Amino acid sequence: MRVALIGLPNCGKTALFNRLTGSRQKVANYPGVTVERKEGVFSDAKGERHQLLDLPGLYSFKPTTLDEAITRDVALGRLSGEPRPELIVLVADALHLSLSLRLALEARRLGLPMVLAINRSDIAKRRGFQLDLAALSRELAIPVIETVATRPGGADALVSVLEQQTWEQSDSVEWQEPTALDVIAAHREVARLLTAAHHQEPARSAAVAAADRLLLHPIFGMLSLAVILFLVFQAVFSWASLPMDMIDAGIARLGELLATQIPEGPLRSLLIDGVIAGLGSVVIFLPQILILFAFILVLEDSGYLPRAAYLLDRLMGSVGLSGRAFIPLLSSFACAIPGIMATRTIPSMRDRIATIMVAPLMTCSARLPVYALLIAAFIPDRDVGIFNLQGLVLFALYFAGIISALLVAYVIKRWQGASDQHLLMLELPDYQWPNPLNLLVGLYDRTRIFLERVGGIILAMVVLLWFLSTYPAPPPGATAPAIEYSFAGQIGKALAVVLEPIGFNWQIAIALVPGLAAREIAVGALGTVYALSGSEEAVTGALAATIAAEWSLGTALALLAWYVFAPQCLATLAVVKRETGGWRHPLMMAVYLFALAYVAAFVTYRLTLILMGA
Amino acid sequence: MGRKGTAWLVYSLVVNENLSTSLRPLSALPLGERSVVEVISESTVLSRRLLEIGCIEGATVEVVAVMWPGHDPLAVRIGGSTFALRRQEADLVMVR
Repeated sequence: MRVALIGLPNCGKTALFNRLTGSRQKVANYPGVTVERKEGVFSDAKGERHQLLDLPGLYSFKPTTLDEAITRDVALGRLSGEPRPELIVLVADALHLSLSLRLALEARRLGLPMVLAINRSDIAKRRGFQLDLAALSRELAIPVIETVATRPGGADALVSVLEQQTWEQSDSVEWQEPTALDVIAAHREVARLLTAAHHQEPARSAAVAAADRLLLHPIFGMLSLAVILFLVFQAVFSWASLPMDMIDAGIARLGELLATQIPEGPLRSLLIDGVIAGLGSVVIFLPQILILFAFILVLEDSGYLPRAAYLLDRLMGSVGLSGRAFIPLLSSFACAIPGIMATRTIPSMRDRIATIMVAPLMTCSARLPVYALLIAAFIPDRDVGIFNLQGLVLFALYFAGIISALLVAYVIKRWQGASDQHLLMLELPDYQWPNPLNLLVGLYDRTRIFLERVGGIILAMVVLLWFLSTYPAPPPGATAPAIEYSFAGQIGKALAVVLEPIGFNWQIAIALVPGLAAREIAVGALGTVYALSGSEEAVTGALAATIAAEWSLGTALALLAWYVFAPQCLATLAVVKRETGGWRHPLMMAVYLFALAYVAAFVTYRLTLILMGA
Repeated sequence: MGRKGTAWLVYSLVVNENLSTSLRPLSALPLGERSVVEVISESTVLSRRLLEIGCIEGATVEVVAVMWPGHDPLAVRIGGSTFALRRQEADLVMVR
């Protein structure tokens, strides 16, 4: 049976989805739009398998965002290529039952069989929540059950209802979009239903109220936000060092092992100089990426993110962005692609495009390897007061990205004019302890995506680069390292003419080109280039030591500045084209980012030269 | 709750000046004071969304946090949920 989960945003729908399907889920996009489609399977006690679709959360079946439109269209069977669900599980939040029930009343008009799952009933009961499930079920004439998505076995009642009942497909009814009057009438009907079911509303949590007095405070709230963000960046550096050292040692051992097993020749060079030096220098950053993601997932799960959006709304508004732009922009710290996809929650197209245009300025996790490499090589690992200097520099780089995003948004606003109706209207859900299952599923997904990239596009690029860097072989009697005579060496030297004013050498020029496919390849490419240039340290994974010896401080800082604006990866441009429906915006984006990157690197390089007295 | 019978009145009352004088916008509600929604001004998308999140005539509201400067945005408890509203949004709601 095809089952679809429908519910308000933040109702615990995704937790329920994870509880039912575990890791048996598939994340893709709906055809033609970049709305995430999450599908999974689960089996009931009879062993029958059901397909489960997690539809985007919505407040109403009269959509104001692309997300909500998708949920409506799938539920009505109007989205081509997407079969209509046979059963709706409406996930209601016991803490906000009246809003959930209003949505249920709208959903009932879809003409599909429906089950009402009262989720989070455990937390609600501790706060005095009461509800006569049988009475509500009678009133609504649909099964009503309780679920606790965060507890093992918490979805069992739902599964057994699904297997006990036979679901009759009702005749398709004429769908009419709910009017404002319908909404008001539905609220009245909900009030009647709740009285009939002896509903007792849960008390507002005193702890949440107290936390909000601090965390939403104009001064203390802002301070807390700064402290939280700062802790994240410190943790990315300090917690990751142990696992990174272990991966580093493992890669070095693997390289040495291969060196003793494989005879001298092209194969040995491909494996050691190409694959090991190239992939190894990227894989090492997995711990840092996972720590960053763990923090983002925890902030998301705990309910803090919309509060951060609340705190920063004025700032966003002053540069012409919607308050809702905060969450897409924060997702862009992980990767600009989900960030750009998340802009679909912004109703105004003009606001959406402004957000999309600045999203690549948020420092995505693919830039982390580049930053981490250069910081480790050039910034001394010492404490400044209570802070670690390397963590401070990383924080400054992220900060530079944020400031430039705000400036660019401001320029767009002055140039295009801001839209008049900015929508914030963001729910601030109660705080909750992050759900370990959600965290694990999220980190597992991230690791899988990262390793797929490493094994796919990054491997392909590294092998291609090895080939270009190895052939043609140097002429007899050549004195310089062989790579200087190769295709890559020639390309790099041609590009270096343009890049020399900003302090980049030909090795960096080579690395920047494949870096367009995925930014972290730049690091892998540097690993391969220096390994082939005869640096033993690059082979053993210590690329940082090599570049520390070879580059000037000015070059390193200029490269850091370049990557703050880093002409984004091609995948981002492709998503921008799909989201904005044309080449205009992706082209504008590529041009402005290239220009900013060049100018920033030039200024940084020249300033460093002057300050260093050269 | 039933002081103004039909839902149409909810929309039309905003032009009734006699009543408006005894009302104040939600954004003017002091922090921590509870009140009851009387009228929602008509404005395309915003007022519709406010209705959907439960901001209807008779709903209990309380401002739980305010940003400054400018009293914008606000965090408002509406029924059983808390929402962050821009002042522009909160100004559409008149409370007793």
